Amino acid sequence: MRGSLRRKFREISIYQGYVHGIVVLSLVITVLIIVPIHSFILLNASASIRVRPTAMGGLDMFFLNFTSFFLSLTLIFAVATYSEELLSGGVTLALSHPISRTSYVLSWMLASLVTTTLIYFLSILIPLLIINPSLVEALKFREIFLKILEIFELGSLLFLISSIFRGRGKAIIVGLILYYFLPMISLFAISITLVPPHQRATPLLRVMLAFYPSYRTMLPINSSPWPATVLIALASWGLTLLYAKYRMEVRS
Amino acid sequence: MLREVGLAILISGLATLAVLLVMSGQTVTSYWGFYGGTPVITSTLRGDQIDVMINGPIEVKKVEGYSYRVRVQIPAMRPQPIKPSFARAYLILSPNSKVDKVVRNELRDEGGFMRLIKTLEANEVASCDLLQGECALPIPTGKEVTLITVVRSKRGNQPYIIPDVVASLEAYIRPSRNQLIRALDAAAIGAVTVVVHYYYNKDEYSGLRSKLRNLVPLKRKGKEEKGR
Repeated sequence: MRGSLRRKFREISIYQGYVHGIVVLSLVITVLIIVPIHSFILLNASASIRVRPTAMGGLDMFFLNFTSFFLSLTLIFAVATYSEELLSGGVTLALSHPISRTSYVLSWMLASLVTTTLIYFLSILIPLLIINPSLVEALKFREIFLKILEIFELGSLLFLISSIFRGRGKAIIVGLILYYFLPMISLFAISITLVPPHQRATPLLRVMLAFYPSYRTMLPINSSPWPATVLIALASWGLTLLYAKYRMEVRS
Repeated sequence: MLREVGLAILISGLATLAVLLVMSGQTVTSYWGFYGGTPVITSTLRGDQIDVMINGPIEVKKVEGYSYRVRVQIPAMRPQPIKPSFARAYLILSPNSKVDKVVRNELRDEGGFMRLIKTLEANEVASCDLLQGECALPIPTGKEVTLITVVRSKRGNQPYIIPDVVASLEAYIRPSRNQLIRALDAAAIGAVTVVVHYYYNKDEYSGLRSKLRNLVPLKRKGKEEKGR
């Protein structure tokens, strides 16, 4: 049992290295763009921390939203590459080696979702530790956490959809809809349906916040949507792996 | 994943170092101006003359990589614009509550205004004249200081006078040696991580990955030929 697990881990590790080789350039470009922006934000926030108790004001959150846009683009690119590999036949070559479909899909998920999110988190944490480690205590990480969680959860959902409906174009379109168009449409719908008192979340709003928890800061309500977001992400991972194991057809 | 994390740390370290060096000498300004005499105003009317004192604490503690200055100005006198005969800003080391009590007592007495000025001059860290416009006072870091603005003016036919004092904190970015060392440390850690990854994965690069890398284009090529 232990030997089998170790072998599986080794398989995933090797194939993950291959996937990383594909996405590494986009990751490097993303880091090169976002780290200077994060450093600039932190340098400004750090200077005024003794004056303003909450250093991350509206402007800083704007920058954070701006850099998270690059993260979502990198993620869409990675998932689109995976989806294209399923369609083009690269997958048959990979699966001709002793690697299971689950391991193959799991390698892609780890490389495209976990690595990308981890690197985005590092791009905030490292400038923070260099410029002013005391900012770790001063900053409210809730907004940052919600944003990262949202991108990760949407990426997981995108991965599931891209496994079923293959092709780079489809993945990019679904990614753009999930990350940019749906939140805009949802916000518009909510602005029509939301009636005072605004403090109570309507069912539509609850569903929207489960998918887009970072929008909580923009709305005048007191609710904590992140457990539902985590559930959606976990469900997406589970369904993707089950689909890979039982339903994924590989055509050459 | 080790290589990607290593690369991220390496790039983050170098990019932060570059930002620190580029931003060195720039100023970050935070306005927290106390308009119209808040948080504390002491005003004494004596004959045709009015003395106003405004004080507020500045909580600037040692923040690495910056040196601070407070810029003070009196953009307006309310209710009508009048030119004050005396306007000066003082930075003193005593805490605000203590200063407030002493100064209030001084202003109550006849001739107390000049005594107040002498007391402030004896205890000042820095002071500047506000009659010429705005002025800047360097703040010693790591200490709690109190900014006091004293204004004397002819009352004229005004029932009261409130000077609008605006103070802004300017932080000059001066990267400390520790910040630069931390940035280089991060870059070094990233570089070592990448090297360690390559060292322990030599086989992988000559094994499956390279095979796949070579095979995928061949497969595509084969498909294209089949299509023709």
